[in-house]
Amino acid sequence: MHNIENLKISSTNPCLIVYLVDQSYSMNEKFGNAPHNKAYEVADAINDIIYEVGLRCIGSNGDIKNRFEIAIIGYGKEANTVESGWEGSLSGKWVVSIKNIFEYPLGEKDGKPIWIKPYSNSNTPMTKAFENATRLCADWINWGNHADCHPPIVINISDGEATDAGSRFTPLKDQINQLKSLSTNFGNLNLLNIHISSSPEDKILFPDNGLATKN
Amino acid sequence: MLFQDGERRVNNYGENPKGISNISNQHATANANSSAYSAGKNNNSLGGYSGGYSGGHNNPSGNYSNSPDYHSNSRTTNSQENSEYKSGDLYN
Repeated sequence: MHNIENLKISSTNPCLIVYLVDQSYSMNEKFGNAPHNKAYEVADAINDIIYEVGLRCIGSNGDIKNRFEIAIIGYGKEANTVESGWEGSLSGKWVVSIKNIFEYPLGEKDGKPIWIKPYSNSNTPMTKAFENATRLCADWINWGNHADCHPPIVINISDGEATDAGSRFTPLKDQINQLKSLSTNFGNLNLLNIHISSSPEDKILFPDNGLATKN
Repeated sequence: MLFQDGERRVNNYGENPKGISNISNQHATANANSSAYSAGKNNNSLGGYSGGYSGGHNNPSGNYSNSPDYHSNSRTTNSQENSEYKSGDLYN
């Protein structure tokens, strides 16, 4: 295993970021005290992050360097389906380089490009989403020189009510553990979960088991 | 392929292994001719970037690019069948 502190993310050794986006009906509920719903907040946040990532990949000559590749996996837009969250010219694609992403925005909002729209429609097939993410990340790691790249970063954003979690959440947990077991030569895949809520309370960052259980 | 040191070389996987800029040629001309972004107010914030984004030219819905807000709960018209990730779809 190589020391990740010695790794520089670059166009030669890019990093994969995967967003799992809950598009279920409950995402239509208000986001805390905000005037908009949770789906809207999530879409805003992801669009902002994509924009920020792109800006940080601009080289000295003005070109966007392919230091990051991004996948958006939406779940719950239609019944129990999982699908790519890219739309427009990127529709149906899974992993897209940051260079291509900036070439094909979906539109703009508040003067900045956007790539995804908010949806809050149906069930919450989160287990299936993690299963798709596992296969996608495994393929990415096995592609070209990606075993020598930063481990993929997977970020699940949900209000947390999976409809396919199974008995005692076992199938969901098993699938997540399978995803977390993937690795490159620089370590295991990084999985982050962002739980959003309608409750207007303070943020809880990196909760321990007690807090996670409490919530 | 342009490497991070600014030099053009061919890497071990070919000139353009991930098909960058090959997604679709339908907007290539629009991108090349558009000055909406590079000459606009966002130019400074991009630190000199002048390619690519041209302000939502490829928006398929027509009612979205100029809207200041999202249209939540709108449903896609794409087929939902066989929508999951399949091996081999990584960069397709």
